[in-house]
Amino acid sequence: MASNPSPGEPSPGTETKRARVIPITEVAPDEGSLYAARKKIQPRSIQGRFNTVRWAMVWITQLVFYGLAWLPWNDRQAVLFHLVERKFYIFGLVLWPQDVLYLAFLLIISALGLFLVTAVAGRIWCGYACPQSVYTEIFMWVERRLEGDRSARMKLDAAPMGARKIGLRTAKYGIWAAIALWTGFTFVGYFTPIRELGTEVASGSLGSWESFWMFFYAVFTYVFAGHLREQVCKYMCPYARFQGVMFDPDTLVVSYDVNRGEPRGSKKKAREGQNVGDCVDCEWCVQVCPTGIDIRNGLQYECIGCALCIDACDQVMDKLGRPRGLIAYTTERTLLDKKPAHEGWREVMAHILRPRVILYTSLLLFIVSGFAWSLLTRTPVKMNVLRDRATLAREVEGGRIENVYRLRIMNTSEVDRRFVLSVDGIPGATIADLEQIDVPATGSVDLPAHVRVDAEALQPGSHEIHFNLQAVDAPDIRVHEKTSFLQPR
Amino acid sequence: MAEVDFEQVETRRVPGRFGRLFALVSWPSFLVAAVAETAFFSLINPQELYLLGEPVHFSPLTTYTLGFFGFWCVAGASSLISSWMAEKMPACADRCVGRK
Repeated sequence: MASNPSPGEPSPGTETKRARVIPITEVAPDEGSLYAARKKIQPRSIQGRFNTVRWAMVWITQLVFYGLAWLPWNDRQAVLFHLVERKFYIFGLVLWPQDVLYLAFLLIISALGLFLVTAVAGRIWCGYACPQSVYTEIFMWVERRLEGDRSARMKLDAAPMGARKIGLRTAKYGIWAAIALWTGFTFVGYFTPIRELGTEVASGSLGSWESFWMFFYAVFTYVFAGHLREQVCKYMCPYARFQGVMFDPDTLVVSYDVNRGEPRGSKKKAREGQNVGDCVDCEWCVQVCPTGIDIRNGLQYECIGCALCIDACDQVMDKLGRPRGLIAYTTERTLLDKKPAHEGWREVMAHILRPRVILYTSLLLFIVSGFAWSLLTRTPVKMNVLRDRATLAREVEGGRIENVYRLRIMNTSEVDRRFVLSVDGIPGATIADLEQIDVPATGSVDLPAHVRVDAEALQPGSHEIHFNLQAVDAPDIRVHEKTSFLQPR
Repeated sequence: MAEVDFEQVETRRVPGRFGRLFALVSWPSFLVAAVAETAFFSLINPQELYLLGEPVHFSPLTTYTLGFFGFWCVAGASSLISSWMAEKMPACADRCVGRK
């Protein structure tokens, strides 16, 4: 380097700064671009460990989704988000609009859960549990059963429209439509009692909005799982775009071992004495990929972490008699350390136990326990008290002053209950026509309460008063509501 | 039998104007509308709404549906303007290499 840099040249200081700039080379837009031509992806089917796990997840999620709606509980649907009644039934729990806080809790728990899972294991949500992946898999299964595997489907795509093609396509679209409609029906069945919905569908008396939402959701399922498929993950899913910020060098990702695999080449090349790695460039990993990427190019945002390329590569390695794990679930740090992907549990724990994961886990535990505590100690009765503004304070017999309140008493438990109402806070305050109040299970009662106070007992103005509601059968079920009593001048 | 070179015969689909609008406008606004719908109707009972000074006389399901499409339209309008403006945004300076 010149000892006396001329004015045009950068000083040594700037040079060191420049050296830290990551060189970014401009690349031609690939098929990941929204504007570029896109090949229709026809993935090859593959058997293997991860494919088995994927199918197990399809069964589990869909048994829960299609089955849970039909499960009875206390003579009603076990899980029902009853929109018309504005009550959410989740097994023994009945949530009212007043319980909206629990919804916020649930959202926070879901978000933190997703962060935690992503930090530990990358996009396993996408690969195994996301409805988009699950329904795409079901739809692809139908397609494979009817039209055959990858090459057969490609031939069919290329073939001119004939009787066989029309027949196969009609059958495929028909079965897809049936699955989509059943999915739409089940979806609506979580918001309107599904048995009534079933009767209405059978008798053709389905309400117009129920039909609308059923078809709406069916069309969504059909289009997303049948036609859009990986495009949803690539272009539409926000999670796919921001997953990068939740990844770190210890996150489990599907990776190709470049050191072991490269330079890729066939066995023939190896026999010819050329220096080749373990990758035989068979392209199976590319063919099985549902998003059509080449994992050997490194981690890409299109990768949904389904690990089918691992299954494919493992099969090839088994056939070649080479160790598995050329493509494996591993971490960036392991790859950088040039360690094999399969490690003992100590190393695995070292990857998992890191500040980010510990932070997410403790936050999650804290919120989950708060949520559980709040649910367990929930009083199964609620009372809203509103002073009746239409009726001003008035004088009644015996020189007493009366205020009228509107009460709404909600019994959130699943047994009928009898309650006793009382007031305190003002000496001598009584409730006229005080009777015991019966509130049906998961029902509510609206009633007026006439509170009377001796006129001399109070200064004019507003005074604090408390309503106490007490269950007759259970002493610990009681609520206490504060309101004000108005003494006229 | 030699494998046919399917690279030659594969169908190619170019996401057109509709595809773009769907991915950039309808879908994000759909997600936002779903969140807005849940939040809004968790807090507000559709039977207690007023429309042009009159209490709404629709069935709850109608109100929920209208609400959802209302939210979707509003969010969609915002997404549409954003995507249009992002497209019209002048090419950025040297700091964003690789983008045009």
